[in-house]
Amino acid sequence: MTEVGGTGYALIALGPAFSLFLTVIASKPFLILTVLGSAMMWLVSLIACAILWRAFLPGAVWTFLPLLITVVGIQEAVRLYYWCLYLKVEHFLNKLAAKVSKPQLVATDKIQIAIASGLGHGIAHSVFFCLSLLTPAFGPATYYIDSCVHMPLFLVAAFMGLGFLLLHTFSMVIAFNALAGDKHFHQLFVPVMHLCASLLTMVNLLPGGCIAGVPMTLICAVVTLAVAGKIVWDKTGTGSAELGNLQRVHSSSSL
Amino acid sequence: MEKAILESVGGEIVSIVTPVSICMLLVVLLVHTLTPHGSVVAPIATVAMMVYSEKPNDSLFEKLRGGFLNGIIFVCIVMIVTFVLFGLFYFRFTKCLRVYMGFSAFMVLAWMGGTVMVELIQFFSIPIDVITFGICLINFASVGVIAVFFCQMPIVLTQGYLVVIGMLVAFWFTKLPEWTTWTLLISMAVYDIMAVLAPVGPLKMLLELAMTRDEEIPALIYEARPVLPRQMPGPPPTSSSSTTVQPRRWSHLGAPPHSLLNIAIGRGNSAGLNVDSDNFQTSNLGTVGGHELMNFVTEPPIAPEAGLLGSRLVSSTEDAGTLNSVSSVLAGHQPIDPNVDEDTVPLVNPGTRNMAAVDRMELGTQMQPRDLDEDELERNDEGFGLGVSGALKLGLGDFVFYSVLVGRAAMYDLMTVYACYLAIVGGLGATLILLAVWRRAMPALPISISLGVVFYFLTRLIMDPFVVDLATHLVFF
Repeated sequence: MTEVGGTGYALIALGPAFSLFLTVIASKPFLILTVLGSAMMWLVSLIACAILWRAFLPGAVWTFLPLLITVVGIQEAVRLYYWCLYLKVEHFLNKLAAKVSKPQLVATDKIQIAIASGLGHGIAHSVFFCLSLLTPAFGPATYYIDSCVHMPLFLVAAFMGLGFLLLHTFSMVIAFNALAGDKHFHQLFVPVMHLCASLLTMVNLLPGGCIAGVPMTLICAVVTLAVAGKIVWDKTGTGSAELGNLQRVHSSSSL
Repeated sequence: MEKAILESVGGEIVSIVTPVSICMLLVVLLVHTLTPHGSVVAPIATVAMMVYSEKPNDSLFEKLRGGFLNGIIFVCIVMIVTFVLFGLFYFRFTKCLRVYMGFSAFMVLAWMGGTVMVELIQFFSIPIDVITFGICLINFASVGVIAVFFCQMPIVLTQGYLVVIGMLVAFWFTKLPEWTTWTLLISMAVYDIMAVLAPVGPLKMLLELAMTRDEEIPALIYEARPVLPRQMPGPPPTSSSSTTVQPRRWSHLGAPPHSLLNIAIGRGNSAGLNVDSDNFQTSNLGTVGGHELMNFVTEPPIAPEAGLLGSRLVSSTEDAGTLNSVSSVLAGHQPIDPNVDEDTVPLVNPGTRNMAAVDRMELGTQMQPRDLDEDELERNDEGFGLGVSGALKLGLGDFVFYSVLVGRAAMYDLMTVYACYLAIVGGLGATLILLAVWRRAMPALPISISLGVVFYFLTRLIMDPFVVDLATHLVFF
């Protein structure tokens, strides 16, 4: 629907990512590289899933169920692998910090790295699933699919992209925190929420399902956001036991 | 409050990735605007198509074979011209080289730039008359040539012009037929490996010669962040690097067994250290105009007695260069204390490439030499020089070929563009890390191009149908 519509859809899908990027990430080059690295890792996992399932698509509708389960499984495995890589990078950064007499990584740094990693996943998801569909949206017409006559395809894809972007970003924060502190509830929460959100999108296959599918995805995203927010609040709030961790204290100062 | 490590690590890589991304973005925009889907672009007659001119009706085998032949011929021409330029440099025809480079840069900006501008004017129906257009174009091209080769101008201007030159050349290359483009890219990547890492590579010889003679090689190199203003002692400095005048341009530290060349390390006078003849200078390694590949093998020089080398970056974000950091941590010894002498890392130049008609440039990075032997710690602790600017340098040929790949991907769909972009940036990062680890000249093309090509075909053939199928059913994960 012309350039205005196309830009609008793109902003719905990527606006929060853009503002997150500008406020948190753009000032720190390492985080920019983290975003790119984790986007690339997500892309590789997507290609692996595509290779696995390419032969079965386009297929019957019920093939989506095992597809989603296996794909979410692969992505969660990639998340664990990414966590292992992150541990090495953190170790490396701390060693480097020691060498150049800078403070070690504190809690906010780690949260920022987690946000950057999650944002890389989320942006990659939005770009590949939503933005690449939007090219026709810049033209003069719009497009509806059969199972969703209420909203144009682009609008639905934009909202779903937004939901999954928030989901990926903040589930990475939760996952990092859970794996570092070995909190089993949160460790389980992330894959379960991811799987739920994915399976709920299958509601969209029903006629008129997108009326329910879009809000449900956004609710999943909001729940993830709330859990991540609570974690960060606990970690950095004034009542936090780790408050001392927040101050970047020079190793030789007496602060 | 102390600045955290997170704020400084990675700065130079980002400062190289940003212009590469901008160049790719511009090429994608141009391609997307000027070659709408479904239009048949008449292939231009170029040297790359001497042998085989692709027609749509040919069979796949013929196209592949023809493209392959085109690629081989192109690589041969590049190699011959590289040797010619090496010969010119050897016989000290530097003026000839400089005039040629200035001329080719002017041609790129005026002629190719003019063609692109005319197409844009036609597309957007911009009302402009011929005389105004002509004057603007001549001025634009002249300022570009001067900014890149002859004068010291605000660095943003020089960098901008370099990116524009890279963009124009890449756009011109995207007009080649499809299979020829892919085979050309792959051939150039393979050639890059051979030219950089093989003992008889022309670029290696050229750099070696430049080092032994302690002269600059005029070329087009994008420098991320030069710090000090250039002074022109003798021959005018080349391209965009801003290095201080030093008595010597290259450091000669003997011939270490495994590498023939020494790193030219630039150092700034900002730290106020005495510069004596043992100090190092940035190599203004650029590509000589012409089909030429230059690869630089670099080596860490020994420190001068003054101890700390380095230059202070203008930018406030860098206290510890990334590659310095990588090297230092891997080597297990102390990097230069930035509080005393703020160093950052230039990598040593891996490869520079030149192209006559197109002025390609290559990855030239200046490496901060880091000796990985624990035994030589004391000797080398002070010694590892840094580029004057402390910034990475990337030859323009790499810009061009990355953008060609992405531009060709844009002709299919935007999804391939994103995949190829991530692949190329990932490859560039991997190349830089390898450079920091192996500390020898590395060609910038192979990893990125091979990843890009692999990702393009995987995306186009496998991922695209998968994702589109899921997305049109509104099933996401």
